[in-house]
Amino acid sequence: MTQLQRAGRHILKRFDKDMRKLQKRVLKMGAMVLEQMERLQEALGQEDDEQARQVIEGDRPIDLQEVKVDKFIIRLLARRSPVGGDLRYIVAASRIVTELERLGDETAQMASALFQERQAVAGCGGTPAHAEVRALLARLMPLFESALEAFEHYDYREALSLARDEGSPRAELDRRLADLMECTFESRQPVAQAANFVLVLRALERSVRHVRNIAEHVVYLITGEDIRHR
Amino acid sequence: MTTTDTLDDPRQHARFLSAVDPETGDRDGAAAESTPPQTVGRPFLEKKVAIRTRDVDVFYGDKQALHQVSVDIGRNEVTAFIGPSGCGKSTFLRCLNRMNDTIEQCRVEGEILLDGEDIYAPGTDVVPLRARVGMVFQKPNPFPKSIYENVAYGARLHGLAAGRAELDELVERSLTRAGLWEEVKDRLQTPGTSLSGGQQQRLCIARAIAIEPEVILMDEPCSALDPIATARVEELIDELRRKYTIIMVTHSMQQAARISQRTAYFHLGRLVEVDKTDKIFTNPSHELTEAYITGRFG
Repeated sequence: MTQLQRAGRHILKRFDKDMRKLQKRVLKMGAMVLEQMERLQEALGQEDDEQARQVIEGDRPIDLQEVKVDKFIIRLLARRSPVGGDLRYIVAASRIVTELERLGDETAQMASALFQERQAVAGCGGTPAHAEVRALLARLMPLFESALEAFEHYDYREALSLARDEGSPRAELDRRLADLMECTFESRQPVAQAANFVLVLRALERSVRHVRNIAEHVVYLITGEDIRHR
Repeated sequence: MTTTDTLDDPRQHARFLSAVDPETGDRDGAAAESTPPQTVGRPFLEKKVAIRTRDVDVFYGDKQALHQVSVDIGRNEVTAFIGPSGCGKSTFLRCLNRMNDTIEQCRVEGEILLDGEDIYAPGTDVVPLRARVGMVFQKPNPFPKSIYENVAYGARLHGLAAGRAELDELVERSLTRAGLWEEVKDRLQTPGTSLSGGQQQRLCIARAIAIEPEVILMDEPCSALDPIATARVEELIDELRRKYTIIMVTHSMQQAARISQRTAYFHLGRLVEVDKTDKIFTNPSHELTEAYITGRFG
């Protein structure tokens, strides 16, 4: 998105209002997901089942927000016939909303797997699973926040860096998964527990990807360049 | 139920809840590097160029209306000229078949080539030129004659039909191509002006194609029509491009987006950008184009 477009105003002022409203709603949804992650962090730190239950229940409002933003986007497309940067913005917002909804799902799923099932130790090192997930979540959350900020501020450089997986804990996640498999195959921990923990690690891995996807959508809305699947 | 749109939960991340205000424009994210505007457009294969203009200036007396317009118009394509009123798009369109010759004080400089021939070369006869480059105007303007005569008139004038049978055939063919035959075949002798606005415009298109032009210029051909008649004319234009090169001026950006393959954006007498329509409407190169198509033009 160009400088002019950011600063410029539509002749039709209501269009400006709609675009602001769209941004606000997407960011709000992002804030709701971020809050879920924080709550999960707290639950893990304090071994707090009640907080974990709140995370599981907290997915519903995010789903409702998705429906609401989607409806708004369809209205915008129908009534404003957006083109150029407006069109890219709306399309990117729509895609980001989908990523956010999935991030919300993954977070709730992690809470459910971590608190409602018996846990394995995370890999051969014997680290408790909760501590392990807490550490990985702590890596993911700032990336997610940066992606939302890149969307908020049209920050091309930040979005591109996130889209390139810079600072991403993907390698660490892969290593943890490999460790876990190794321990399980060597029968040093019960398969059921290991399988459950694999689910959690996979959810984290997908979350990392959703964050990267958000960054890719931000790059698209700014430059029009589709950098997915490269 | 938890409301999803109230901001009163202190746990919410407040800084994301108030979005950036585009009006302030004070964020400093890196804007995309925009590619330089293409005033000539992406290169065509030479044989695909129907009209080529280079450095066209147009003056009305002392006032310069067009500056250095250079563009290649593709054969069998619809090219749309868009831009705010007074930007020179109609002036430029009218240069392409020398309609501006009829305006006193109008002076055209530069080069306009139709199939490689300079149409402003000394000694060029404008009558055959206008037969090759036909024109359809904003307001349907059938002759005050029968439907049949409206179509047959030009063909007869240019000696395109040897006899009555041939002329009948030409009239039928032209009306069919213009998508009007079925509607008027039983009343060919009624006045053209008795038709509806949309039908009259299609009659004018039939009249234009009856003389087998190569290029058809259309100056806001749908601006006087309702949405249904507009859709019919747009569908017709899309079909006609298989046989003809079509250049249209339109104030409807949606129309340009719907039916053109290329779009040229004019601003204050200059061609700012010409590119594939898909590109212009999703990611134009020039900020002025972006401002215009998104409705930010002050």
